[in-house]
Amino acid sequence: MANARVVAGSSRLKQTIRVLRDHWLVTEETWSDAVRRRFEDRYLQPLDPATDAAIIGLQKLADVLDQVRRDCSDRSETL
Amino acid sequence: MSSQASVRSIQALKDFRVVLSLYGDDTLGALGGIEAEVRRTIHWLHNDRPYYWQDQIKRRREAVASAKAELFRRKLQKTADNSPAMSEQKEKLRRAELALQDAEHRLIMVRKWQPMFQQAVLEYKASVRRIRDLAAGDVPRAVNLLSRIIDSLESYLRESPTTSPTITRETSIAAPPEFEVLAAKTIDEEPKVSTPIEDDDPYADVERAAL
Repeated sequence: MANARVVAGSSRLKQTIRVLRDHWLVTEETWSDAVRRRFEDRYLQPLDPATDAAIIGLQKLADVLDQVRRDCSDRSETL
Repeated sequence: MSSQASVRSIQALKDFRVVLSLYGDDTLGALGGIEAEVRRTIHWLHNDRPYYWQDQIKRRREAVASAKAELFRRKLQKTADNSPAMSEQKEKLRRAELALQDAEHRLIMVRKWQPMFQQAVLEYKASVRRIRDLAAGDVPRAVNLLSRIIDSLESYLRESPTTSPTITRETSIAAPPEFEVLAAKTIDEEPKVSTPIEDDDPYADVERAAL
């Protein structure tokens, strides 16, 4: 089982970028010009690959955290 | 009517500005929660586990010694015509030895994981650095830029006649040429690469303490 706190953080990252994207699409109805495109290219486009990279890193971290807890805990301990 | 349509357009930008600001806060909050978990694990691995397992090894060695003594006493009771059962004592000794081996193995694992976990944390930090820098630097800059765009538009609306043909069009936000020039210039003037937030490294103290 992947570390619950890290999984929760990863879900939050996915959710928050989705909300941002949805709201950005809403503004398209009232703002569609070169400035909008520049704004999107400059500030919003970089968020997607950065989020994807973070989510991959978080999955690896969750796996490592689980392994550390498994290897270093006493079976009788309550984590 | 045309002015109202433009105001609604500006309101959409204002709404998005709020969402963008919340996005930055939420992203940093999510990363902060994970960083707290990482710090907790580093502390646990360096300041709890070694002492816990060293103590367990000591206790389990005593348990092995006790089990051996008990088995030895049982063997001493053995005579030509008296052969007491020893299976229970043997089983107790076997379990005590397994428990000791487990504790010794886990102490080795703790020592093995200390540097390995540091490495995993470094890799994790590299994977989230970009989004963290964007959320901490570029997103607030984008929020500020939106504020300036909104201010420019509101100022334009205040100063322009409500019947202005540039305002009555559905794509009214794109209309004011001076605004477009201003906004484009502002975006272009922003640094292309966000500055890493090194001074705010949440691991720095923990890593220094652990290494």
